[in-house]
Amino acid sequence: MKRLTMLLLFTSLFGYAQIDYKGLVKNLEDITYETDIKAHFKGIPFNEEYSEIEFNDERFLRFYGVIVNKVTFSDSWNGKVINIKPFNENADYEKIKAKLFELYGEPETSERTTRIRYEWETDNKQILLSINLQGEEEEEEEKEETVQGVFKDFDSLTIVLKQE
Amino acid sequence: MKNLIILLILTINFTFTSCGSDTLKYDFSKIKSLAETKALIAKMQLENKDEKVDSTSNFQEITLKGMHYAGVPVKSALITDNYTLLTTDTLNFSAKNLLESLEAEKGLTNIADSYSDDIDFFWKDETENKKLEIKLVNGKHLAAFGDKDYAELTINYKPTYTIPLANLHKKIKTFENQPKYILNIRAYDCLYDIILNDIIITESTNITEFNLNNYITGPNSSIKIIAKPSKSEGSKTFHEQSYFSATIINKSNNEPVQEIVKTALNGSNSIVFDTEFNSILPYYPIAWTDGADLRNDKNLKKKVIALYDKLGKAILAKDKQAINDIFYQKDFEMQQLDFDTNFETARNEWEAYLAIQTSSYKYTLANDFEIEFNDGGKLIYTYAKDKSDMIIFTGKGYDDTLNHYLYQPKGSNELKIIR
Repeated sequence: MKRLTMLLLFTSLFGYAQIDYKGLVKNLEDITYETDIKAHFKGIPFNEEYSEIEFNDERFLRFYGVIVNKVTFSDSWNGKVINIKPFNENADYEKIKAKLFELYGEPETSERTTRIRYEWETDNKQILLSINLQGEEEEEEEKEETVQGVFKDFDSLTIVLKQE
Repeated sequence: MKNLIILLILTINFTFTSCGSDTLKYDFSKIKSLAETKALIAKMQLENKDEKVDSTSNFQEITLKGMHYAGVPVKSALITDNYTLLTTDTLNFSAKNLLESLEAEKGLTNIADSYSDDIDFFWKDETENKKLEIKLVNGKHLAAFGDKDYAELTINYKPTYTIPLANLHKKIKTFENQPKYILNIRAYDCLYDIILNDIIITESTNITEFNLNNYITGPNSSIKIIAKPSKSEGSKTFHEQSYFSATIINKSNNEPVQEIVKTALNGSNSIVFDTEFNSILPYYPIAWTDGADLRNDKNLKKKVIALYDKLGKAILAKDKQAINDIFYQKDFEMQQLDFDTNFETARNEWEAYLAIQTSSYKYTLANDFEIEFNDGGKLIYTYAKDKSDMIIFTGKGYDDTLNHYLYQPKGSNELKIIR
């Protein structure tokens, strides 16, 4: 009844049916290997090239509550690949990292002077979270020593959904 | 409860319209043509005699209070004969509000590629193009707008065409399965002729992709490909590494339909690949299927000249109906065979004919030409010998040529353009 009232109100004021923006928001963590991507994102515009489907409207994309700038879906030999591009915000990185640690535990970690890479693997998915760091040691990129840097930007956030 | 809701709506609506009568006077969202824009400017002029508003100018910037787009205040309107550019103010989330107004009106659309930091959206339809450029001031992105973000909306109103050819997308039928048969060729150091259903669609080419739908008239098709030495460096034989392979695919599902396996080419003789394939379509054009056999028509040359002469006269006379009648069947069948319901295809094709019409002051016909007979003489193609093409349109610093496949419907004595 409340929705109907609001709809009537907007229609009478503006003459056009308003878009249900909240209703279109998709949580990318809900997607499984079986998800029909186009059906799941029905109503949201997308680009498709070489069998890769891209959504780039941040109003509708979330990953554990973090606003996502862009997401692509493609198929590879080892499963359905989801490439997620959040905005380069340290708080978003911390939130995603904390959630992935909470859900999947300790990852396989690779730390370099300019990059940190976490990898989780379960029976049905593989998650890679990699960020670039900024710091004074940037020019020593090739060295393998571990240096704590500051979040610069997301390098990669990729989920491979495996067929069970 | 129900009465209360109705009362509430009416009250708010009344309040909105009465209180807003001063602030929201000139609504650009209601304007659908340049003529309506001029009428709105005239109204502004009449109601604002102290302001400098010139309804006759073809380039002016108006900054009157009360301008809006579906309730979103507009700070300035630049109005020309080609476009209207509306700029919102930097208050009250105007960029967000304008985007949402346009999305309510036109639907959601993809964010367009932009060379600047702006976030751009395009909407195109048969009556207008709209481009919205969002300028972030204190916002971060579309999911975190700032109250000072503003927007520029550029509107191009399009001419209305009533001619059937410009509207043929409305006649295009769509189907669940819409195959698009494509011939893909991989070859090295050779040229080839392609003959589909006894129609020579190209000769001595090295182009690697062909759309076959335009030459299909039934569920079974034949294809003959003649591979020949490329004659590079004067050689009349195939290079020792020459090869040829081809695949017909259905592009709608990327499934292969027929394959010519990779074959080494040697010697000096042409090599012929001849095969058949299932060319099932949900729609088959009439095309030249009911055409007369033209091989023994003694007046054929005269008929060819008469057809191109008729086309030339129609273009110079700016006779839109005649131009429509000459090209309609060809354009309809080709757009239907592509299952293309996009309004722009038909409109662009029509505007291309109009461009020839606008630019040309004379035409020249080929009088000496060779006639090639296809599909048992039902379909012909001509090669001009005394001119660069069958018809040449000339204008100031402009020329354009045309040449088409022709057929003669049974019972008629005139040729028609069909591809």
